[in-house]
Amino acid sequence: MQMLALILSALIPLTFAKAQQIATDLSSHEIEINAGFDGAELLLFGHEGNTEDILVIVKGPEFSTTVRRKERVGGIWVNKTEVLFESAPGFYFVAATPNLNADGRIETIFAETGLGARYLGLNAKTETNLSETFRGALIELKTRAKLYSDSPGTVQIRPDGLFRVKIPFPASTPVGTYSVTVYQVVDGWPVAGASTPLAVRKVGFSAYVFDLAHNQPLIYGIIAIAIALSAGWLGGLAFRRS
Amino acid sequence: MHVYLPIAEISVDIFLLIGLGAAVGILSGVFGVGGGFLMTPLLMFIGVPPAVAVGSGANLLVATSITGVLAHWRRRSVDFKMGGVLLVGGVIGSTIGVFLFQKLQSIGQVDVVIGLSYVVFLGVIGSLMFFESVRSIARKRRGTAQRGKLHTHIWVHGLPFKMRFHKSRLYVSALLPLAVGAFVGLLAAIMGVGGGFIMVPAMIYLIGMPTSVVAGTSLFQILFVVMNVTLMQSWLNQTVDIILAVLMLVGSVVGVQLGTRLGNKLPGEQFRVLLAVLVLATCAGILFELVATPNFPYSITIQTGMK
Repeated sequence: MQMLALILSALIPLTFAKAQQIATDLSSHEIEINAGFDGAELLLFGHEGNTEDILVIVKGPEFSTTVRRKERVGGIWVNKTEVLFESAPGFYFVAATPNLNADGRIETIFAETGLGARYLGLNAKTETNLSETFRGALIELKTRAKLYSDSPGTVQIRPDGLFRVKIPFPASTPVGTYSVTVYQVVDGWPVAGASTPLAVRKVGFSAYVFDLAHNQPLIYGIIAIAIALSAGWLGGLAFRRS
Repeated sequence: MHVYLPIAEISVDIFLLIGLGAAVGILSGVFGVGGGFLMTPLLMFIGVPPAVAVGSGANLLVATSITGVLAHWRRRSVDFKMGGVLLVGGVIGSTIGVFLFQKLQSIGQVDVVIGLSYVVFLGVIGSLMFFESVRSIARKRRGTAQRGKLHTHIWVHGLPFKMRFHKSRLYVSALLPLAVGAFVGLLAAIMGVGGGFIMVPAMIYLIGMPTSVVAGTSLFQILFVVMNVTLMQSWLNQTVDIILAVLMLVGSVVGVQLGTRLGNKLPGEQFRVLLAVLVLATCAGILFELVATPNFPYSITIQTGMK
């Protein structure tokens, strides 16, 4: 009986992997932003049967984002031209197995599917001849902030099909629901495999402060004033006595 | 050690914030200025969004100005009637300022307006202060202190709605302090400063108040203006970061006391020159930012509102 259970438990993930071709999980399905948050790193790991090449995409919540360009007006640099992108992901991470990277196939895939950070199909609200430049600037700025990254070659895969990749999140990681999708590259074309959700949320004291500021702004303001008044009063008192 | 600021949404070194607060505190203790004009640009420099720097700066100034007001109150050097008229103007001005700030932010021009305001005001005040203190050092060396005229009649004394201010021994139009208060309130909301550096000269030279009540009365007005800015910014724009303000407060409360003690031991006139140089240097730094070709002229703004 015990033996049977053992065999069964060993078989279940195998058959699961075979049916799905791929099984993955994250080291955590939640990133908690607390008072000491200074970025985080998650580990995505899994197993896939056909030892194909793998592509991992992590996409954050989308925000309407305005890109502005400074131009010289009367000697000073002023924001002049702006382009609005109605939905740009707040976080975007791409990784692939070294194989794809080594023979340069990854660039073709990135360009053809728009999966690479540099090829993200961001649509300007009103497309003009400026859109392309501003799209590039948005991606460049997000990349500098480590919010967008193409990290081909960082997915480690073993001959038996076990794979893993580290996903870095900077301190400015936006709050929201993320999707983590693993693609298998079949005949040079990525096929969506398993998808795992990920939530980034504020917790503890910093979450409390944020919620209060947004849900009860008037009370928040009064508290802010009360703290400052009492601190200033106490400070003055303490030093007057000494 | 890093701390995550929930409203600014950035992670900053805790000791950097306390140190910044202490530096601003020492400065305000030594020179008797609020220090907001240095704090706001410094906060922006370490990556705090301009709106949050201005809102949280106002919150911090509530603490520093209450300490000052209480000290002046004990010394009976506050003209409450004059302060009252000034603060009515201040509340009106700062409320307009908060709305204006919101508008400027939505069209992406808030940074440049803040920058230009700083350049203009720091430039003018810094130069005036510099020449004034150099002249007074020179005068002291020559030992020929001459007394100016007690009352100079200028156009402002012809304005209607005259009011008597016993403490200041003045009989002037209420419109004058009202306008000064409103203007300073507007600046407070947009620049994240208390505005003492504008108000003190305006009170002495424009309104004609005796210097003995100027500092206390201006602090009294500033206290209410920064309270109003804190409330309005929290309410309308959610740009007051309590954590940021409290951390800087810890530094500044200690800094002010150190600065006051330091200030008593230092030669006043020479130090005025130093403050003037500091003000002019800040002005030059901000001007450079505005004029120099940016290495990347693009910037992004995310609408964090509901989608």
